Amino acid sequence: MLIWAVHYKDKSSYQYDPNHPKKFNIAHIDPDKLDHIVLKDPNPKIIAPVLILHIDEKEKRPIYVLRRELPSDARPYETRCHILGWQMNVNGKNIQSINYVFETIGRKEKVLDPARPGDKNAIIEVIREYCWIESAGKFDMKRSSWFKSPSDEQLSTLGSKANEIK
Amino acid sequence: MVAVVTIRRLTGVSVGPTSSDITSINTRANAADAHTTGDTASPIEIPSAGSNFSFWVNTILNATTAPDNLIDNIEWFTDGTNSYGTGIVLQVATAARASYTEAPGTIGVTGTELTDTNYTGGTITPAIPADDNAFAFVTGAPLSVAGSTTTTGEFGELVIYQVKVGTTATPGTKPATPETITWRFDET
Repeated sequence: MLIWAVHYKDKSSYQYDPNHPKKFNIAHIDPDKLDHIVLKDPNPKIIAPVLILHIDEKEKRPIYVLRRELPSDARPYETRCHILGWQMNVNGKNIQSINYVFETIGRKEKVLDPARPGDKNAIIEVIREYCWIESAGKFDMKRSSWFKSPSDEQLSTLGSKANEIK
Repeated sequence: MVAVVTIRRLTGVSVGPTSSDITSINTRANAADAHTTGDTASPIEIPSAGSNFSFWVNTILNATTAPDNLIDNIEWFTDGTNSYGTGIVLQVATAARASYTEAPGTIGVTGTELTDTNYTGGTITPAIPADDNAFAFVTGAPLSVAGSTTTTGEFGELVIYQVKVGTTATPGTKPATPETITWRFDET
């Protein structure tokens, strides 16, 4: 799955480690110090990020929530959506810019076995994940439930334990 | 760590029901209160008048690894298309976990109709599910399931569904390809 890292204005950075989530997770992000958030593949050999979100105005309130759709009989892989963006009040108006970064988890495809070229019956199953990004303004249930606003409690989690990280 | 969440089907007695993991697989809604992917021994009898029912199917989410912070915004939906065929519909309701009620009925014939009156352990919503109301819940307009969790164990409300069979139904395993039910939620 994709993981995120935060980069602060003081040049320090923290990366989410799924194996040690209590060490630094989104509740520990300090929104006041935030410069940008990076969403990337956990494989260190893949250096290109999937998305970088810059928080270039201090009034911007960052948003991050992971939306998950569990596997079903018909689609036996999980779909995740990293909802990453910001909210800002401008002249009393609630402005939002939200990115929806989708990824599949454990998606399998049947392909011809490259070890047996020419044999059309040599079918093997391989893991082939997909990742795509949709970008939009404010949350909007009319577009799709994926675009539904997270709960207030979810939105308030980001940075709620920022004081715990020095 | 990202929470490990499974979909469970609860069957049997109210105190300590059997909990079966049905994530990624199918579960039969037939005339028995048990999880099975392919049982044909307990079909729903096609009635000569009125309707027969599957035993109602109690489902709920369960976290075996806790979220870092919180899971909520739970949703449940179908593909929006009834593929059972003529005379067969699917109805759904929700109830608090504490309301869990073992599915009654006559094995191999019919379950008891899912209504608030018959679901004696507590209140279900809606009290009388409309015919085929399950297929109104689709990805863009899902059923909102109350509840949240910060820890391991079952969480959220029960989603209870039931197949209703009328006199115009035809024999056989229905549908040819299982109906798809999907759960979605938010995690932080």
